[in-house]
Amino acid sequence: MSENILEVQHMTITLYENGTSYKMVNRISFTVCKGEIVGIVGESGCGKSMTALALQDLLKNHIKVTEGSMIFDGKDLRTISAAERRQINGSDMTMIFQEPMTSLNPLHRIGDQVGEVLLLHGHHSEAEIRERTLEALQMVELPDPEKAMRMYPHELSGGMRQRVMIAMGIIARPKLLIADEPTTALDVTTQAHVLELLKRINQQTGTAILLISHDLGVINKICSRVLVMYAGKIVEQGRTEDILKNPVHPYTKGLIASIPTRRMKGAPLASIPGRVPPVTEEKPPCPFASRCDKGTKECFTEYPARRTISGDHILWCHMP
Amino acid sequence: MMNAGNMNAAEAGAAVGAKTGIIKKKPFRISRKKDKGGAPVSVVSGWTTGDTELKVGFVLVGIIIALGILSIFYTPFDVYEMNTAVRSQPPSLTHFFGTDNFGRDIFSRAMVGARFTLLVSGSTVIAAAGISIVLGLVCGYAGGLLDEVVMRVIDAINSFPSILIALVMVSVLNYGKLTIIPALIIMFIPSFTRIVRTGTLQYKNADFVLSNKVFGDSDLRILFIHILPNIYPLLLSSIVIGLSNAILAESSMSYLGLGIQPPIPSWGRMLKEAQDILFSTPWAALAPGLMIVLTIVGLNCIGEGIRKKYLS
Amino acid sequence: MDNKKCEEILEISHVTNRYRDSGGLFSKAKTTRVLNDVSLTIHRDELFGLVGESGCGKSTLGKAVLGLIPYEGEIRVAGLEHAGSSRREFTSNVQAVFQDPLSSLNPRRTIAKTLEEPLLAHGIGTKESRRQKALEMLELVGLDATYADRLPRDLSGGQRQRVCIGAALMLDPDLVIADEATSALDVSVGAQILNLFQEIHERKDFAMLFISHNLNVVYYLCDRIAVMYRGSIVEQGDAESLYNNPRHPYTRMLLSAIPEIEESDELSQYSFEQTRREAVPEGCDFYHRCPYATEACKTRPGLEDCLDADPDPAKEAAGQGTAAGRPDAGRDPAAGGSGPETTAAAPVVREHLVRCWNPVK
Repeated sequence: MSENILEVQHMTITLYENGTSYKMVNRISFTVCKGEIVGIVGESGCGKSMTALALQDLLKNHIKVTEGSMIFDGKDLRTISAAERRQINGSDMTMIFQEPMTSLNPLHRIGDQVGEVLLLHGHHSEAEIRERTLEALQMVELPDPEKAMRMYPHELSGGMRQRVMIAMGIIARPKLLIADEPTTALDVTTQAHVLELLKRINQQTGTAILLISHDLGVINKICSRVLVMYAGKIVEQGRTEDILKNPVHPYTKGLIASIPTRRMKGAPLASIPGRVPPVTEEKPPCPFASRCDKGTKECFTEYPARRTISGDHILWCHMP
Repeated sequence: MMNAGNMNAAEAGAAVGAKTGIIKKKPFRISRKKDKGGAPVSVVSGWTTGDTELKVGFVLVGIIIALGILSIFYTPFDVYEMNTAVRSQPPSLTHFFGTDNFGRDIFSRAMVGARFTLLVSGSTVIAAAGISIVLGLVCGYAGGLLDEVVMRVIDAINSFPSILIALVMVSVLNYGKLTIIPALIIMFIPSFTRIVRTGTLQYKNADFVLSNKVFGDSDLRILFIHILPNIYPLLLSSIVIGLSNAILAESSMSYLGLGIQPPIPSWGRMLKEAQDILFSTPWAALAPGLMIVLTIVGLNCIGEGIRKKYLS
Repeated sequence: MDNKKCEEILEISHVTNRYRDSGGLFSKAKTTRVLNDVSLTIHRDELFGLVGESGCGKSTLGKAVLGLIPYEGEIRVAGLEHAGSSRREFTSNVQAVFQDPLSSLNPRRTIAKTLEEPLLAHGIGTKESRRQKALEMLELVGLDATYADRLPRDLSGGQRQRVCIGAALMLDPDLVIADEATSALDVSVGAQILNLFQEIHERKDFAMLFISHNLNVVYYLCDRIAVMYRGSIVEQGDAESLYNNPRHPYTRMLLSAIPEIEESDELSQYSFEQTRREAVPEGCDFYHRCPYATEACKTRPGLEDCLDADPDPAKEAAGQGTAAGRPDAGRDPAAGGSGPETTAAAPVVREHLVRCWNPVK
């Protein structure tokens, strides 16, 4: 395994509301190696988007990272200066979002928006910016990049806008690209193309990708490793094939069983009873304990220690 | 690109205050919005949450209303009796706000003035709101030609200066003490109707209205049982502000001599009379002026409190 | 016609819907065809899935069936047409569950009041009987009676959707339309709702038109599936044959694009190249993206049955129609009533229709 581009240790993200504080993400630790594609999967409210925003320093005023460290490329993101941070965002570590329409400025042309990234990072001549913009647009397989550069966002379809976003994300040749639900708003056929594109970019440029999604199928398509999050904690992590073939944590098992596949026609889906607890609710040390069919007293009193099942497959659970 | 970095003025102020230590350890007050998973989406809404404004407003307006109700049964002095012996007395313990040049106790007159002013503006606003609700709902929901025609008529009414409408009404109807009310009602219909209509437009395409159509609800039922209750908060805030505007309007009319006729005291009328005797009895304007200010400020506080608590 | 005995709960015949954009100062008026000569039939108690990507018109078709938008053509629900019947009559036969449970509920009405709303709209029952029915429905959809007096904002997404399903069933409709009913919900919650649909379908008598962009979910739940593309049905058939043997290139493209969590060798054969060419307005809608297009595809194909010529003798003996044996085999399957052939149970219609000149083998 090569060096780690990102190391997150015991990171906690806290929300302050009406005088009380709630933990949105509770002491999570994970790593992303150089050139790897890692996925974070979880349902709404599990903290996966918050983690991404924390890495990019985009959290709002009353949500803060209160514990732990995020080491990107050797630098601790919590202690570096604001200027250094601004330098990293957009060039070494970039992010793409779910809604391409609202992430693009409707009043500026595509070429200007993609090139703006380079204007902000490093000193490039205009010609160089233009060349790199074309290169980026070609890399994301936009038909006729020359023409696209002069177009406005509303003239493109959803899939093409998302490609423009990806172009903005890779033009500065980042070391890590964070993708927060990049295909959720797209049709399934467009989604397939965009995912393949991300994989190709990873193979060609060596950019590591942190893909966040609620869809295990999407994760399975391009991620080599996956982290399963529930209510602010990572409950299981490992290689994607391992997790999908041999899930150990009851939540992971339940999640996989909830997805209708070819073989399940006619049989009831083994859904998980109850619902995902909101952030403001009191949760036992293992947040899944109240919904778990295997829970014991221990799950309500002590946080499960980290256990290695095999190699990369790591589990946080009391049950064998 | 991302909206996360934007702050509104209140947040910026909060940030500065916290940094420079002026505001110590004040927790952010955050409204109760939540997203799909139940995780709070926080929005800093300023220094107060609306409770303070409501309290202050209700106290102020409560005092005025209490005085008005009290005036039905008791005033310190008779309001109409002229007593030349005590005319033009400055404020004292017997006459809280002094007497005017006819010897009438100003405070008592202001109390009665409160009663009439509140009655007139209250009934005006309620009637105008009632008519506007029907007009606004029907126009917003039906759309088409009806909507266009009615809205143009309302635009026309809006463009008339209110004084002109009052004059016309007064000359068409007789000078009664309540002639002012129809004029005021007509003045207020345009703004209320617009608010209700906008709300109706907003909700008529809402998913739950669609659901109700699928259930088989008649249009009438949808309008009054489903759309209207959702427009209440918006309308309520406007009604409160409308009340304060109505009081100002009534006072202005009375000042000009078009409103409640003497000898019935009305704040506007009292101000006009006070203006005439300004150099001999400067305190004459104190009572009516102060009461107008307190009422308007109180009503605005209530309106703002409603807005903060229920509309954000 | 006696509605109760009617076997075709939903008959859609040659429905077209055009959307006219009157244009503005700088753009001309444009007429887009959202639905293009759509015909299909749903039978009593059947679970029928309608699949397609965004913009294909599936939601528009659902709205047309509900009578919420104008259209050309004929739609009959339990024998009743929109034109000839009042809103009350019509709505007692068909109800709907929509995608966003939060906005589908009036935020100022309690759950019980929302459940009673269909009854109130139709003037059914007394105050007590309505409340009683509402409580019974709450139980049926798996919610505690304590939820009756709560407001929608106190419930989670899954619970709200249960309420919406309950409200749709209050009038005992013959047909329920579910428009992306699980798309806005978490995966585990969506699974609960799918289970709920199946449970309720076993206990109560209704047909369902399940609209979704997710072919996996539709295959899992439904007996018959139709695939829509740009306003037309391009393939239609029973779930098994459509899913395991898709004939239309678009269906194959859809299937191969679905990211699966299980390894499957069969899907790799459907992988496709991105094809782009000039569209031909009078031709096949899929012409501009189809990897197998030929000159013939410049004229629009009809929806034809492509079942094998030799029927399975065991199935024929069981009384199910096949391509050769059915009286209405051929171009327009929607027009025929299958009344005299059917048995007491919901008829399983074996058909596999494709709108393609050379469907894939």
